[in-house]
Amino acid sequence: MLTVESLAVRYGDMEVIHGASFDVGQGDSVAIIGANGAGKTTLLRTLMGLHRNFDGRITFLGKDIGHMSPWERATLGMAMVPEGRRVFPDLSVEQNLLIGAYSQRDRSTVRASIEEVYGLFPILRERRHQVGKTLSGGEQQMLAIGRALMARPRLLLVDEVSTGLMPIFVDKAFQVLRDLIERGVSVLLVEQNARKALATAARGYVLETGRIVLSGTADELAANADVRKAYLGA
Amino acid sequence: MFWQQLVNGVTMGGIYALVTLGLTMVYGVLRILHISHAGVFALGAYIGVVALRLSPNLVVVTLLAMLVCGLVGVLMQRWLYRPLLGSSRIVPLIASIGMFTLMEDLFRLAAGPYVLPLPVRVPFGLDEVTTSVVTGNQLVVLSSAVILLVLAWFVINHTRLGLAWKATEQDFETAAAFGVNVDRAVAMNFLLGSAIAGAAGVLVGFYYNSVYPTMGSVPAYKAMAIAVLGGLGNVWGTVIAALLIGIIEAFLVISPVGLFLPRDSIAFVALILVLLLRPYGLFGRR
Repeated sequence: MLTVESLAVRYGDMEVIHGASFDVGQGDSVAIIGANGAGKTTLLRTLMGLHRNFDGRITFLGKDIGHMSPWERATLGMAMVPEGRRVFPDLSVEQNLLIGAYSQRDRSTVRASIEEVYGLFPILRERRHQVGKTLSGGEQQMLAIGRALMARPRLLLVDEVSTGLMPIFVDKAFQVLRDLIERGVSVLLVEQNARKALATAARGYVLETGRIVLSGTADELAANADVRKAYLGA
Repeated sequence: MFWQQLVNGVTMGGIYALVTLGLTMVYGVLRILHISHAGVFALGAYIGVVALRLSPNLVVVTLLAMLVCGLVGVLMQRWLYRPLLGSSRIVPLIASIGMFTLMEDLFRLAAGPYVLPLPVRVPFGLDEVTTSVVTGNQLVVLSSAVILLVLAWFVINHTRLGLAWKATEQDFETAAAFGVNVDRAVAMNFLLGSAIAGAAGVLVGFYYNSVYPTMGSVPAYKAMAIAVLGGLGNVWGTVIAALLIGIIEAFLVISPVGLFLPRDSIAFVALILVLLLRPYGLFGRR
């Protein structure tokens, strides 16, 4: 579904990702774990088309998407839960969700998606007329997840779903991701919380200062001595 | 006398609102002070003069002016502002002022430095419905302004496009990541704002029956002042600020203050006061 080959990403003259290659299959779930500053957010932004200074090949659904704008990628079926939530501060909860479904033309599908999101996060229904910036951090994260679900994506890119959430919401957020994966949506998540990420995804990669240093199934990684020491605190 | 002046003020206020609307819309999505918007306003009046040869009907003339001005607005966005988007904010501002000067000179070259009439014919004989309070011409301008403002309100608040504008304004990256074609959204923003400015040009040309190369000069800076008063980017603040300025001007000219304070200075006095006291605009939030 998504294939990334020798991806090198730069900010100006500084290269921050050095030739990363990985793939996400149809219905696959992949976690990229790494410490702060490893380049995880940059990686996702490049995949979405928000960062364009790169070399290498990005293929999505058999198409080379490297030259495509973010909205073209969205229309192909990519959606993201961005770093820092990026909820639209002066749009209402419902309008935020409607933007999530912007590439969905069919009104009844959009209506059904909204109901689904409200079913998942009842607090969003209560707050549906409130503007984004008045929500708490946890509520904003739910909205960011809900907004991405509205797109009915084929591939969901998730950047640090757990940051800033209270523990019960962290579990909830990962539960939502697991449900999505079970429904056959392909998910690529980048996470500092390696334990949760490896418990959610089927496969994983370890990104260290811009290089992929390890890959394997989630179980293999979770059992790997280096991973346990560096990321699982064991 | 009071009601007459009120109507005069509201009429001018309506025109100011139409001109300023595009300015504040553009500022909303691009954070650019689009001075040459006033050139588009004057262009609208000149297109009106040309369109008169096709049809004397106000509606036809206005629609033609809106069409041409809308397209010119899009071209400006494509060829003037888009190449400059990465540069510091002063660069597009200077380019915009340059473009405005160029347009004024082009009008002078093309049509001469004269005042041209714009004797359009008004449907339903609306301009004949003159009472002691409101003239027919004012009715024409007022009703046109209301129609255009309602149109803008509808597009902004009740269409996908309007939602896309708001999202782009608040976070264009995230909007783009969810499928909003940000390029096209910005182009449509220029299209609507410029079309409405073009209509305002026709209405002003008709109201004073005069079209001349520098007719955009005062609106250029007055609209800027009104946009700041309304809180740049705030559409409804802009409309209210425009009406306020129109009304204050109308009453000032008949008051003793009007003897030493020229009408066109009011907007700037208000601008200075607002910048001192409420720099985020009359209705803005901090």
